[in-house]
Amino acid sequence: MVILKFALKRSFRNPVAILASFILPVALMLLSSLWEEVSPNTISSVDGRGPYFMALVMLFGALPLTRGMIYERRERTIVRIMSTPTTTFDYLSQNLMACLIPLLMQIFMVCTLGRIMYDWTIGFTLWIGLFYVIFATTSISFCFAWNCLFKNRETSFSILSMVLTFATFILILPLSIFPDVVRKVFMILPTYWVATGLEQLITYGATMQFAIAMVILVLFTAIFLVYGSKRGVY
Amino acid sequence: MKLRFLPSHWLIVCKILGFSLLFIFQIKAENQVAFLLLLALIALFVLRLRIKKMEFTIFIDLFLCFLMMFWLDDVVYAVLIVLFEALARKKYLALLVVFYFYMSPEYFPLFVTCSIGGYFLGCWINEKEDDMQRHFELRGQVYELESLSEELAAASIQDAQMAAVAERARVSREIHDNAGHDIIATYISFQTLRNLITDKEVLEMYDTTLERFSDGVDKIRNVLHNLTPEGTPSIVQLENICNQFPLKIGFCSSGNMSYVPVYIWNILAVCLKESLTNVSRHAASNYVKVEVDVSTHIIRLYVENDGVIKNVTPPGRGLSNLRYRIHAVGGNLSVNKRDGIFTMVCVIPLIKEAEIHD
Repeated sequence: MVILKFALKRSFRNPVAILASFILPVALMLLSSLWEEVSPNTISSVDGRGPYFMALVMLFGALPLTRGMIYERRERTIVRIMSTPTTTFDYLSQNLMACLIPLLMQIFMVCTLGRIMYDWTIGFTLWIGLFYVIFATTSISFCFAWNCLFKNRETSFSILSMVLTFATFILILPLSIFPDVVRKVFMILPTYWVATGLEQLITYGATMQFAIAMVILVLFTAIFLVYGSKRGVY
Repeated sequence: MKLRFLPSHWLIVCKILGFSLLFIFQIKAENQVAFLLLLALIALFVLRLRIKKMEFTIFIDLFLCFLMMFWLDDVVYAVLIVLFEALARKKYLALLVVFYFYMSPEYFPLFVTCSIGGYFLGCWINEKEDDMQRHFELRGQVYELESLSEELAAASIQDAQMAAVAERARVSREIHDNAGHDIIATYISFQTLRNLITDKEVLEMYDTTLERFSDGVDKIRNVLHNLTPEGTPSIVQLENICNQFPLKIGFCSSGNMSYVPVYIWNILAVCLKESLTNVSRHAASNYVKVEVDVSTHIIRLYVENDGVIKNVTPPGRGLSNLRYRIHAVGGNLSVNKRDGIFTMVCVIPLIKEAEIHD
């Protein structure tokens, strides 16, 4: 687990990652107006946007965490790593695990604060924690696959900004305000299913639609991971 | 770099087109189960693209479509997309499954179109893969021939060097055996004559001449010493190779080793090294036996070991290239594996020096 150790150190040395993974979520949790209406069996389309913003913070927090692998590829450090007896699977899995751990800590912090400050029920806390864990892995794998998609950094960044803008709209605004055609287009983005799942969980609790949203996020994670692992080390 | 569009890329294009049409016309914003099925099909397709051995998951696709029949209408379109890929990947069983479980007359034209399209795409993909395989094999053969040609060129240079060394040895031997003895005998005779000379002037001239003669003898001796090559290839070289091997080797030789020219010792040394290297890399042997037998007309190198391993790495070019070299000198190399014993026999004919000069 040498790679995991060093990748973790790299993750925690990144100030942007620390800001996005720890400081922003805590600041968000302290804005009580975003969280007061968040509980099952509350039908609200305006208040209670806290969980959605938290998902957005998680998505943007995943970006700097996955940059480390890109820098290693660019600086050719990865060539030296691969000359050691390390398989590609070990390298990728340990790096992705190192990216996931800060997000898991963030989720734990959010769930704890939510339980203490806003009296979330245990069931709700566990379900939202599980949902965030799944979305964290989806975010990490999405950023990983995106970084593998483009060779040119500028092209990658410009197209990613466009994609993340749509993702932001989906999480900031309630889904019901979008027309059906636009909602259908948004279905191809994982954040649509995050918004759907959170809406179901907050409004009705852990329903079948909430479970379907979770399964869809797992499938997105699988697709991004399988695609991202296709690109060779060099 | 020019992008090559292979037939297998057409499969990806067709699948993406199929999924896109399915998404546009079949999926509605409120229909989450349909999107779940579509995403599952995409995930399995990406998995099959990534890992070649996962082609059997095409039947998982069909199974998922069968499950979703109870919740969704018009699953047939997804099934037809799966069928297209199944036939492109030569999974003909899917045709029977689809025909039995899903077909109704209204979808028959689409069924036939997807089946024929998938089948022909599969044939095209296979043909292209066979072409590429043949191309790789031909390229491999070209590389092997180039490598063999380089080895033979290096061997011929080495043989030329060895021939020069052998000739120097012969000259040195001839001088030592013939002229050398006569010159030394003459020197000794002159030394004994000194006592018979009484005249002082003649003695002085005699001493000067004898000193020059002695210098000449020393120079001849030095030249002979420099001409005589060290470490001429011989049976000793083969013994040294066996002694340097980490395993204990039973070495024995018989016959008149002087019959064997230098270039044949060279070939036998390379053959023995290659054989022992193969033993150390590919065999877990308890004993190795090496025999060198020289008769009037042939020399035979025999290597035997008892460490035959069943799962051996693919054979390299070492012994094959060596076979070419041995054939070039009229010899033969054969290997045999039976009852756990591996033997290599190298036989090279001996051409006598008299025949060479003739």
